Amino acid sequence: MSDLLLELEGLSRRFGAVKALDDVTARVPPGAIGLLGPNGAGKTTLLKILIGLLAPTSGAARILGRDVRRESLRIRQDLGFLPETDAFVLGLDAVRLVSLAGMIAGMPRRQALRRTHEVLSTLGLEEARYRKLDGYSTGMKQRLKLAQALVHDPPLLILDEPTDGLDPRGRADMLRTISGLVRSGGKSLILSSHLLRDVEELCDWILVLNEGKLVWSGRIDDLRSPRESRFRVSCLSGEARLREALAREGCELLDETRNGGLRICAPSGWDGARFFRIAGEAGAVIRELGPDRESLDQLFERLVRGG
Amino acid sequence: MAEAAGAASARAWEGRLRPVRLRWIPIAREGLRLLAQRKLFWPLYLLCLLNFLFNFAVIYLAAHVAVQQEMIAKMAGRFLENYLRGGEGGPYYHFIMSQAFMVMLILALAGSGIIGGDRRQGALLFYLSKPIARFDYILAKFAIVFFVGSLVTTVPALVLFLEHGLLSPTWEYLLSNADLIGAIIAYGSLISAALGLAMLALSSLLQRTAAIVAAWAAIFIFSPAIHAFVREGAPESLRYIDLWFSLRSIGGLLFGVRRQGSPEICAAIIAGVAIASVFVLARTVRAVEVSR
Repeated sequence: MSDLLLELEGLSRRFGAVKALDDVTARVPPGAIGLLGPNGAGKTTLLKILIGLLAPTSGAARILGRDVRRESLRIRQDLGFLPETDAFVLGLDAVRLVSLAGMIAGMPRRQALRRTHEVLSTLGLEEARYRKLDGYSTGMKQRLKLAQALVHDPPLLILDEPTDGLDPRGRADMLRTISGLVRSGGKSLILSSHLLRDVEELCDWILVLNEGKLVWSGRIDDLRSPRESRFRVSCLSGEARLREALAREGCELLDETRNGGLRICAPSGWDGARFFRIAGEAGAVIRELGPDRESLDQLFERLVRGG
Repeated sequence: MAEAAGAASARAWEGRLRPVRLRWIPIAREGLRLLAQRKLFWPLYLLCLLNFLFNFAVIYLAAHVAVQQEMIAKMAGRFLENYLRGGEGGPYYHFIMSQAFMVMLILALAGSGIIGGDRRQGALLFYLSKPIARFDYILAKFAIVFFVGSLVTTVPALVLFLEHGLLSPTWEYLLSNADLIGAIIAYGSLISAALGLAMLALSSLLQRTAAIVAAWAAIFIFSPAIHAFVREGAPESLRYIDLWFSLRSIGGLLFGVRRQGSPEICAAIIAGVAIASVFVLARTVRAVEVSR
């Protein structure tokens, strides 16, 4: 079996004239993967191809070393899927739904029931487990969707917008739960979310899609690692003189930060000491100096806009 | 919740999984439980059994009451005559054919939401994201409608056959008519399968209960009416519009009673309906809604 969690080779999917996925190629190691992209980027199409619900028009995809075209049953055996939309059998209570999920996954009836009670109580649904699903709140539904994905203890979780519709507390709870499953439980994760903070909190690798094309695949840290030549500087005094001095030394002023500082692109090889020396010579006093790290939102914007 | 989740993941499940080919069974079982929970199901099922109860009583009377009594014979009418003659498949043919109408009614309740409801509520995604094939899902839903159909046709017909045999003074009836068991099972299964598949296809295609029931009624109530309306002066072949005609014809063949129409054409029509239904199911049972 391959050591990679995900291998995509020229993966494409068309719906008539629309290219939902366009020649996507990536190799991703096991761990927590975030799938990012604006609406219509092809995230859900990719997820459905990986689960085997949709066939690619061309190209190949392997997940956990298995080919999505030929081994979709084995793939679904090894994963738990939390869909974005409600996917329940109305009329059932939580125990019947989750145990049904376990039995369809192949668990014997008694073991599925026992495991269902364990999973529901660990996800905080113990008291509502015999209540009809029609009366569940959004948060309870999200936890129930996670429960039915977890019941057969799969090594991989594929979660499509797991915090969608949750209040801040519910979102924090859900993220902690998923984090526990990944970090303590040793599960791999593919998380599709439009909430960049969720991805930032849970994932160490991201795939960014835009208009069906892959625009980035790599570790978040690599993408966000301080770009060596970019700094943020704020001054107690003499900011104008520092600007002039830096410009003379070949620095480029990118823009001003929200709290009045400067974003500077310096020639390669510069370090903090050089800024302090130039400030001292120019009669300016630096209050704060540091690498110019991008937030995930800025990264996302930059990638999607091709910056 | 986070600590608990960590604990849950530590308690890994290490049991043995069942073979893939048996995984449609829990879906069918849960579907039948859901059906049995519907308030309207049991009254309708009892209604479906009225004909059975009447026949059951007639056979009982035939065995225990002096059948020469004219009044009773009149009351029981043709049913009694049929059973008294014995050795013929006629009573079972008529019984199953009249139950077929009840199958149509009960499937309108039981079957209308069976796949359409799953599509509407997103349950299709729940099922198909699990390690089963689409075929397993369709098989499970078919098992539900087939089981319900058999409860209304095959099972009561077999009970009537056994009742008649056991109430006879000798084993002669059971022994000499053992081939009727095969005919009852075959005909009951044919009706349950044909109507069940048609209902599943309609349910998956139309989704909304009202539309499904309307289309169902158009096929099984209005097609005989259209046939009757155009019968005068119309070509003979128009009678095949009526699906009941084909079902009756095959039933006549199985039970050895008088029949109309060509069995080959009737069998082809029923097979055509079944194949068309399977084709529709294969096209519509998907967990991906493609919007263009």
